Amino acid sequence: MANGTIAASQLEMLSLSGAGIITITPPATNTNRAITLPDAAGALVVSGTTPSLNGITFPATQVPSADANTLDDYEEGTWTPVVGGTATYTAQVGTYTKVGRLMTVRFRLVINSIGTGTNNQIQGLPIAASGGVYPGNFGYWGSLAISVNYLAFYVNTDSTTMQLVATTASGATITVPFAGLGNSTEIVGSAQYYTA
Amino acid sequence: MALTETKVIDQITVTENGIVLYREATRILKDGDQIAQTYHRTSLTPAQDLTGVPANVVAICNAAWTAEVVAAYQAQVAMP
Repeated sequence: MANGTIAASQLEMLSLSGAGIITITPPATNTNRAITLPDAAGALVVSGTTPSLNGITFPATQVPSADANTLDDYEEGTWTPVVGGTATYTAQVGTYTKVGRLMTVRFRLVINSIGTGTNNQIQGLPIAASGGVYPGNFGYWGSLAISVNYLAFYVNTDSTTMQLVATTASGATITVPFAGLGNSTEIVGSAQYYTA
Repeated sequence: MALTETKVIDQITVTENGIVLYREATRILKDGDQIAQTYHRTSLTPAQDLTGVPANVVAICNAAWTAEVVAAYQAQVAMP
């Protein structure tokens, strides 16, 4: 079958209404699903006795859209949080999910020896943040070099780094940057930010 | 039936301020056909140590990280 033509044997699979509604129905051997795009209400509809849609696949390389109403990307994967320098680690785990321009990252970092690594930043975000700074949260911390009663971070704009901030006493002014990472520090955190 | 695993750097991006982002795709092939794929992303900031970084990424970093780019990035980082 050439592009743009439909074989006679396949006509039963495709119908076009006068209103511009296209319905695609599988051959008789598999009639339990049909897809209609768009239906009268403008929606993509999967129907039949056992309707299902396994997923929507985007290109491996994003084709960016400037349209504010267009979802143009989905990707999930892993990344490796670091503090740079000669630091060594007991655990480095990071995951990310990107939906459109919204990035969600989660990480766990256990420093063995910090060496010449930075003591106030976590580096290595999988995609650079854009358009401002974004708050992040720690769900757990332990063995900090300095005791705190509040610890958080923000994602720097146009960067792949997260800046630690903290207060060391109730009512104290927040310390930015907070140099609290050290040997044996363990932190677990997450953040959301926009990419370019 | 043969299952094989391949790893490739399938994407390298250089941001405006010189950060190099690359994506490693791990592909599982069954008799030559891809049946699964996972991604691992890494970011490199200008002048970062490149020990252990794949050679093709190192080449991109070395081309992108001119003295001007490194200086501009370090100035950006130094801003509060």
